[in-house]
Amino acid sequence: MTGIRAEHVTIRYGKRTAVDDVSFDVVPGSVYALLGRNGAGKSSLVRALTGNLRADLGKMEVLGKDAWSGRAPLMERVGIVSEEPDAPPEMRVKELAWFSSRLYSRWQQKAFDERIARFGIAQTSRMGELSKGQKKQVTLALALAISPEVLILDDPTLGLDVVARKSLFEEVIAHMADFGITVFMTTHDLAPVEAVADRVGILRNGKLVLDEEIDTLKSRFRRIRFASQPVALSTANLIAATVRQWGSGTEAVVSNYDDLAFERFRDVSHLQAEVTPMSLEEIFIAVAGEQGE
Amino acid sequence: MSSTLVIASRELRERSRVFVMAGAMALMPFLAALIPAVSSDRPQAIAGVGGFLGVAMALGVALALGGSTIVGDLVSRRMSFYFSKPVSPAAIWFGKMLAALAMSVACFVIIAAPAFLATGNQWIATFGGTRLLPYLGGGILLMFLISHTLNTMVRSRSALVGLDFVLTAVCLGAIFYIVKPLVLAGAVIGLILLGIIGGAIILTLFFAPLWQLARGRSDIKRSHIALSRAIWTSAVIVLAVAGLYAAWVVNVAPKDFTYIVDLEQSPGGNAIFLTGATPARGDYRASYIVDLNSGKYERIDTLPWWGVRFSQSGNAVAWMQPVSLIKPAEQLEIYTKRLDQPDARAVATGIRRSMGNDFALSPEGTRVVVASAQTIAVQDLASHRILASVPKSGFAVELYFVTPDVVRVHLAHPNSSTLEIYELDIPSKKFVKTGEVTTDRTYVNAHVSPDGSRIVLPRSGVVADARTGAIVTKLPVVMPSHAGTAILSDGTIAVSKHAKGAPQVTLSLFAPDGTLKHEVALPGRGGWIMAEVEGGKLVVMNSLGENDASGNKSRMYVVDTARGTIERAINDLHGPWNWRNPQLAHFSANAKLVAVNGDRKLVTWNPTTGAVTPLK
Repeated sequence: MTGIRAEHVTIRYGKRTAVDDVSFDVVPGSVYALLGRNGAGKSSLVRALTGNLRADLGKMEVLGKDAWSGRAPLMERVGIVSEEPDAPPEMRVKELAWFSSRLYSRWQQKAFDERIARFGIAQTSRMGELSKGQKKQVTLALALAISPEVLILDDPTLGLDVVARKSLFEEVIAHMADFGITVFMTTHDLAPVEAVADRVGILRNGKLVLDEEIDTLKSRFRRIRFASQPVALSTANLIAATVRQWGSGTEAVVSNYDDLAFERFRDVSHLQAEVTPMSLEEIFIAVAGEQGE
Repeated sequence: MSSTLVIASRELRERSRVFVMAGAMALMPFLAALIPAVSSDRPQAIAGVGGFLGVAMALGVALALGGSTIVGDLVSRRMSFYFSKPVSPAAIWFGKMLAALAMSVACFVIIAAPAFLATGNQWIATFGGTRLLPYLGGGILLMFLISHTLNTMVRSRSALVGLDFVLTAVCLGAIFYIVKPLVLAGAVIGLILLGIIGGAIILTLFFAPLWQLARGRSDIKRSHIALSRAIWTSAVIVLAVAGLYAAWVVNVAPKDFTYIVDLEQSPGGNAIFLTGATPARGDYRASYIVDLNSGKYERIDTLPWWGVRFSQSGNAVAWMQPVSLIKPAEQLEIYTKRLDQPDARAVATGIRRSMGNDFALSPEGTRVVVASAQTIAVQDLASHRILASVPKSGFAVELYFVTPDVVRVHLAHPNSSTLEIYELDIPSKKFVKTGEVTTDRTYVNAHVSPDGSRIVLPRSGVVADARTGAIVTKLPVVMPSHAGTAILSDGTIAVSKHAKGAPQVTLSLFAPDGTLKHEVALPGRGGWIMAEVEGGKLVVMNSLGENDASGNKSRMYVVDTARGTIERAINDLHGPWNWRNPQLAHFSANAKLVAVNGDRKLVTWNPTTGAVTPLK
């Protein structure tokens, strides 16, 4: 059984295609980060994943069940932290807990209370009175208190300060360590993803242009700066994701870097070149940004 | 606790401030009673204001919650809060609806209960006790459902709302045309069908949101599409079924009749007016004008118990047809049809009147006179021109043409024993009182001699000059009924009377001066004078009852009025029934009268020979 599976999912809004033939698998117990610029189709995919939207084509499965037709029973096993907290603003935190406790058979009141206390939020506070970060923390506490097998985080750190981001991810990581749940997240905040994600996917204009283990991804992307220009990278069988002028030289991002092959190329061509590893954010910009939109 | 109740409970907590508002409103009736202007009847003021505010707030809350409880969450993108929980669309819809309805009812109780407890009987007198509650419950539900539907459509800001309004108009039009022929025919089944359509619409509005939430989920536009699909698909099915049923009900022919309700025959004998019932069509009664020569028939939308008016010549027929679904008995239009032209169709005269106002055709069938509450009007049927229209006061009980240019009008006031006689001279448009007659009995319809010279007044037995009202004589018989009195062509006055418990009807025949000529015993009860046949023959029908030894239920007598003898008696035959005109129907000696036999089939019968023939 897979944690999450998308099979040729296409979502349209009228004539506009938001998600175009996207397929991916999320292995149980792993963390999958779906990255993409605004309007890339991430939210549509999350809505399909949470059973709020039916894919026009293809199939979306969670824990082996169809996310659309099996939504209600699936939600017993899936925790969701949405991009915009959707709990009614007039509800108090304790009322939210009461409401959830009546709907989830695996509700853990003690875990919820402890987490809320850790966040420093009063149970009598109304949702409308809380800051954005606190609302996200309450939502996360609710999502984790149902002992989920799958946790869906839709841009969970959007609008949060550094401390709140750290706190939120620490909770997720701690819970994962305890229960080994499957996590699917979309985010703009790439720094924590690097630390927690096993695999990333990058959406660009509705298409999944990259879906790979994060370690593999980072190992094959390199930034290479040459002192001269132009550089015939193709002679070294290097595929350039981006190439641009850098001072009097050239900067290229290659997506199939290989140490041995590159050293041979440098020896033969007598080129001065500096090779640096790339962060996930830099890879994302290279893949989704500069070539994007 | 089921998820439905959990959601309902949450909704109630969220909107609990409404109860505080209702509590404040509950004080209003008592404050209103302190106003000096109502100090004379404080209990009524408390009951009235309490009831009004209770109902208004209950309906207002239902209206507001219908527009916010689901739609508000959709518009503010909060519906995903519910869809991220393990709850079904049914739990969401019924939970939220249950809370909204409970809140509406609770608001009514909070406001009305103190007023009820304080005033007791005054409340019951003002609002009819608990009779108000079912209507209030229905109103609350309807307000909530309509508000939810309209708000979903309008607040989605989708162009689809235009199509929704077009389809709403189309459906209302379809409903109008489906029930119109049934309601205009006075059939309660039309109102039942309307009720069933209304019920189906309410059920659709009740259940369609399930589809809306199941398919549209947290997206307002998709929600709107799903709701519209559910509603309009259901509407098409309901209206198609209702339309097919209504079409089947009205699509009957005279041969389908299993029970004849009314049968009138034109004096010329060439046409009949027929109203009948058919199986499985409720109380719907179809009415037809049937041309006996060609067998052609045309359905007319008159109410079954109103009948028609034939001209004396038998050339034309007129009837009143409802034109309003809301008040079918109050807005009627006079229709006419030529009977001497084979392909003539029913023609609307454009003259509209309300029920209870009489009308008549001129002898040759070219003019119609109609009484309304305030006027008497004569129209030329060919040109639709109003030839004369004069004001009148009093209730027109009868009107008839003396000649094509002169209309005589009988006016009487309710419970009056005086009949005022007027004449309208059409060429000069003069409407003058020509006389009056006062009797010792309350006035009931008069019978007029075929030449228009005499009238006989039932109950009192007074025979008078038809123009001046001068009393000619007073018959020594009290006439029990309108249908048991007639003046024949030769001036003979016929009166039938059935003494209580007697085995027969006594038909008394008087000379024009009131001298008793003959008394004829007609076994049976009733003594309904049906028609006069050329040669001094009078057709009288009697009922024999269910347990008559002969096994027959009715018997038609042909009486020779000159000799005072029964010329013929035919069992199990009745018709035609031309009782609505003030003048007795007159047929030629060779006329074939139309009647219904014991098998409820139409037959023709010859009063001269007694021959009975099935009518094809």
